[in-house]
Amino acid sequence: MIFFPIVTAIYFFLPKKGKNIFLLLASYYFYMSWKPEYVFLILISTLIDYVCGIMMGKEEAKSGRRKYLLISIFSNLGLLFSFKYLNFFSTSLNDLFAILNIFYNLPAYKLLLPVGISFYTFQTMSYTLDIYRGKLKPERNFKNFALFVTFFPQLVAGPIERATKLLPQFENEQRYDYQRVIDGIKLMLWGLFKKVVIADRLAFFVNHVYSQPTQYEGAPLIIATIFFSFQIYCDFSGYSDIAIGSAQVLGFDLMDNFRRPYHSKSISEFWKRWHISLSSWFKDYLYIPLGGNRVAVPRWYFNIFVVFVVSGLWHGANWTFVVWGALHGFYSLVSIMTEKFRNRINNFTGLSDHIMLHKFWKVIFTFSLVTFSWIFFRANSITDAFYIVTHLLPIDFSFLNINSKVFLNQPIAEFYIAVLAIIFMETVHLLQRHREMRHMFTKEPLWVKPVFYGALALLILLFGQFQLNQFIYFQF
Amino acid sequence: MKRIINLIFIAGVIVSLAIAVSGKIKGLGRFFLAEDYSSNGFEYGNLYLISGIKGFKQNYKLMNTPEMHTVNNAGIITMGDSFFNQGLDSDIFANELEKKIDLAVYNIADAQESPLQYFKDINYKGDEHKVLLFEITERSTLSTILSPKFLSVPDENLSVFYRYKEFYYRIKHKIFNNLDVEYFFKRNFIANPVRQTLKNIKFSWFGLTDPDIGAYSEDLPMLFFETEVSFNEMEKSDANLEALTENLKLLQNILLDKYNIDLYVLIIPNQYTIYSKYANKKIAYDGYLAKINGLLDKKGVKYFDVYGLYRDYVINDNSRLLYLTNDFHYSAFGKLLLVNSVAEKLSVVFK
Repeated sequence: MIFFPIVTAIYFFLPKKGKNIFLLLASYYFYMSWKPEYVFLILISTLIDYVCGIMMGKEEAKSGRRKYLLISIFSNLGLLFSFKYLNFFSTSLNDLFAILNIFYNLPAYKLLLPVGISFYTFQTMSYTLDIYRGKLKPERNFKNFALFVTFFPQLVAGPIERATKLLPQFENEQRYDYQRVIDGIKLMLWGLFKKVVIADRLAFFVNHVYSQPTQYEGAPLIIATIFFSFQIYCDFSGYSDIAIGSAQVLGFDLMDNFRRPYHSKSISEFWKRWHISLSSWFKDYLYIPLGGNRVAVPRWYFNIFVVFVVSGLWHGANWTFVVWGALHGFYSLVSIMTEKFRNRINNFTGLSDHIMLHKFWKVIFTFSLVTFSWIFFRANSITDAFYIVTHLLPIDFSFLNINSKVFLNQPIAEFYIAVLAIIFMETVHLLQRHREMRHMFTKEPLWVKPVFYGALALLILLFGQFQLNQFIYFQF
Repeated sequence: MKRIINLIFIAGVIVSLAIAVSGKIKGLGRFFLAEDYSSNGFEYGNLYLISGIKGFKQNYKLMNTPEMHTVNNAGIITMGDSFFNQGLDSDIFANELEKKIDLAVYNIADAQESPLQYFKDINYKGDEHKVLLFEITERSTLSTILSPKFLSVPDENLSVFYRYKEFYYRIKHKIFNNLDVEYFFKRNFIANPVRQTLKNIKFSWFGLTDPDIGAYSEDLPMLFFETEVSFNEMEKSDANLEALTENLKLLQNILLDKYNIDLYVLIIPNQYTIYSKYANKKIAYDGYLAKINGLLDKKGVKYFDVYGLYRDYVINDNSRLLYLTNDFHYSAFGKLLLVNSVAEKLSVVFK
């Protein structure tokens, strides 16, 4: 709230020469406000990839570039592994040793996970991978390259940008542009609404149930899980909107990260609309190198499954995330295998003749599958997740007392506000089908736009939760 | 329209700069704080400041009697959290106790995480026998007494490395920690009235309070701190209770052996423990303090049963409030009730 306007103002006042260096320093300050010591990790990653990029640029043959690519990948994944996965692997191995009656204990390493490490390592890896493939020329300007790695709007939770798109933007001078600033602020406002009015409100209900799931069965578990679906969407897409909007104010274009994912009609469509920058990263740098779908069918299935499991592991060093990823892999495979059969059923029942009804059914079904998978994503352990899965039924709504002042440990008014805010958001999403948020109300009378955004600002001020609630994806 | 938006943008930048500067330079910032936050000899209740609900605002005179003693010349030493350092409408606990007992009472104001650390830091010799009244709030018992720092006393406080580390942390905090800017942003004389108006609308229209207010009562009226409500709701394991009381026993033994100090423990009940029956959100009390008292008895740890004292007062009399209506600390009456009880028992000890 304070940092951004100051940085923006100084940025626009500075001459072209000073702009990028100022933005770089501001980005380092932004990162160091969390834990200053960990800035060295970004610096190491930046230096290694910068040097590897330059060295690869000097090699004509792919074989010559390979050793530098390996240095880059091993050092980036090494950092990621050390800080994020080492403890997970040592505790998992210890558990395995215990099962096998092997009396050996690997030490546990409790390192504080650097904020955004998964995001910036993937971003820098895409840079060296693109140079290796000959799709990109190495960046010789260290300042611009460092800014590509640390650009503060998207540093800690994406979108994971590609060098081919972001680096050239640092070459040009960005000037104050009224329309860009307004569009960016509109997007930031919408992101803020999703984060502080919806996500942080839903967090109270979700945290309460998921911190002690065994206290509940049936409806409270279902409500908390549905609430988590919206919480994680509003939290993450809210952050993405704020990141994209703030970059836009400064004059930079970042890629879209979400396109109303809960309106998807299939799991594969969901993954084209959810965390787009990560899905496309996995597609370009893992799925296609594995052979994609241009291989024998069993191998194709294997490729799909591996990508989803790795994606799960990317989200967190816990078996819950692995199961979540595997579940999505399973959904995708079943969806592919049963496509013909499902089409036959639809034709037989006549459902395919009712286009709207059919679409609605598909959206609801996809949403249910995705929501079910979130149980594993949110649960504190596999044991908790299985408890929840096995206690979703029977649905007994008797605990919903109309006269009750408290619902799942929160004032009942919080519940109503949360539900109304979700309905409001989904209504806006429906209106948004053909236009982006920042371009909404361009055809309506002039007064509509200020009234809508004024009301949005008022709702944020009135119903926003302004405690220090970190964005969920900062931890990944 | 474009001109207006541009002006708003420029104004936003200027305000942001002013907030950043005033937040970082406290001497400057305090001139622009809202009245509730400026120190004018009064306080208005910490839960009122969190909630911002005007109906809960009350003035309490801030008493600041200067310290007359030292740890060496006092017969009784008091040490604890904010309850022992609170001087609203009455003097701090130590000074009130001194008025009732014929002994010098010294309060260790700069609370440490462990009494042992404090006595080590001041190189206390323990030539004379003294009494230490160690106070802790119910909601902090588990986190403080079970903390590894409670009984371990590292030597590093005196080392050169430690001093450099301290210096580094101070610099780091000054440059990168922006909580002071956030504090000023929310509490300056322009933002605070807006914030308060919105909070009052939320309360009067929807019955909603700040998330840090866990419950409230309109009959009493009283606000309750969220940490207390969630503490009372939390399940406490027998193993934790056992470990907690064992640590207190160890502390008692070390203090006596090493420093010739007799430890007395005072656990101040949560305001919510005493008054939850009036709250809009009622949680049946799990008898946590009674269980602790039972274990302390069993282990021979000396303590004052503050919970029993307050509970009995509420059951038998209840004509006056033991806690402030808009602050989680005890009222002047609650404090004096405790002071009298402690003075009465200590006078027997010192006879």
